[in-house]
Amino acid sequence: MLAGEAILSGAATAERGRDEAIAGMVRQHSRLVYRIAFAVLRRHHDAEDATQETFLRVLRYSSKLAAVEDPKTWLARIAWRVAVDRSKRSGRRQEIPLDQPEQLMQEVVSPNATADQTIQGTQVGAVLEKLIAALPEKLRAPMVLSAIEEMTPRQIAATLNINEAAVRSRVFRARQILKEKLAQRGQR
Amino acid sequence: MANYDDNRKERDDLDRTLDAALAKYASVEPREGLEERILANLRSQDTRPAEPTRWNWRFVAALAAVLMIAAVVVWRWNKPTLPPVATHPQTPKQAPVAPEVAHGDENNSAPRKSKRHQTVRHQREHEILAAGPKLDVFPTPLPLSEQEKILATYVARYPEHAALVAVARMDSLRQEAEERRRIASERDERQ
Repeated sequence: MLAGEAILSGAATAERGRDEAIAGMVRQHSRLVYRIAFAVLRRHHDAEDATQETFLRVLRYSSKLAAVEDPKTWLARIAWRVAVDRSKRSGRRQEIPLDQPEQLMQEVVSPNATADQTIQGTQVGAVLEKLIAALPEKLRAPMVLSAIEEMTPRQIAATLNINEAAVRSRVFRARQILKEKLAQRGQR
Repeated sequence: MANYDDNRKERDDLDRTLDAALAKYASVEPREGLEERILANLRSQDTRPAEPTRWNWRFVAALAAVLMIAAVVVWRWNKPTLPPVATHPQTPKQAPVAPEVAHGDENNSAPRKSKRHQTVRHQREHEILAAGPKLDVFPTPLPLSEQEKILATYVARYPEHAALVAVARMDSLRQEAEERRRIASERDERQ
């Protein structure tokens, strides 16, 4: 085989290998990417678009794939950035101050429901969603990522570029706030 | 004690509620066939998506270079040319020198100069001759006198006779020079 043919053959093999690696990542981590995107965007359609964009970025940076030590964390970081960028672009997120729980509850709870029905019933999810949305960004990001079962504190720390201890303490504080707000509502 | 137990139970209940709500919050499932859609989308993209960007940059760079060259050409084309100014007005009456004479002298005096150098210098001399009256040959050649013109005509018309006359004249000049040298040496011996 001539040297030129060998080079072309090697390049084709490398490209096939790269495509297979990306396809493997899609099969293995697409659900994680989707969940990360959904945790930020809270809409299925937007989350799927963000997932597609994440893998397109992976394709764009595919030359760096060989140097990636932890593909899952790398992918999670890209997905997080894509979702946050989209969220900022759309500007859809509605901030509700945490010190106004009445307003928060009025928005998500039907006026006829009792407090017990609200907290323990089907509307808990909606209440929690609003409460999480009202958390400060610093606490909300590790909180929503920790809710995703595939993410370990170490991976959350790498995704958010903070240390693991900070992740744990922020998640703890966020949980405390959420529990307080839920308890306050339960006492009314 | 009962209060403490109640509080603890309430906290546990809250924790459980929160955990359940958070699990539900995050455990969303994508629509069926997400992987296939992603893979199809990736396949539809260029396998080397960085290439178009590189191509665009190359194209922009080439376009910028072409535009710059065009701008320089247009600017030079439209630049007004100043009329030549005589830089040596103090020697306006000197007669012009034939360029060939100057070149002959130049070649004799500097035979080792490169051809390129000579060409550049040649061009420069032409420019100087065209631009002003300055002459670089000394003494300045004057027009031929009447006698010189007659001699030139004779040489042109009878070259062989002229050659004989010239040889005879050269011989007589040589003899005169030897005679003068001999007289001078005898005078020196007497002294």
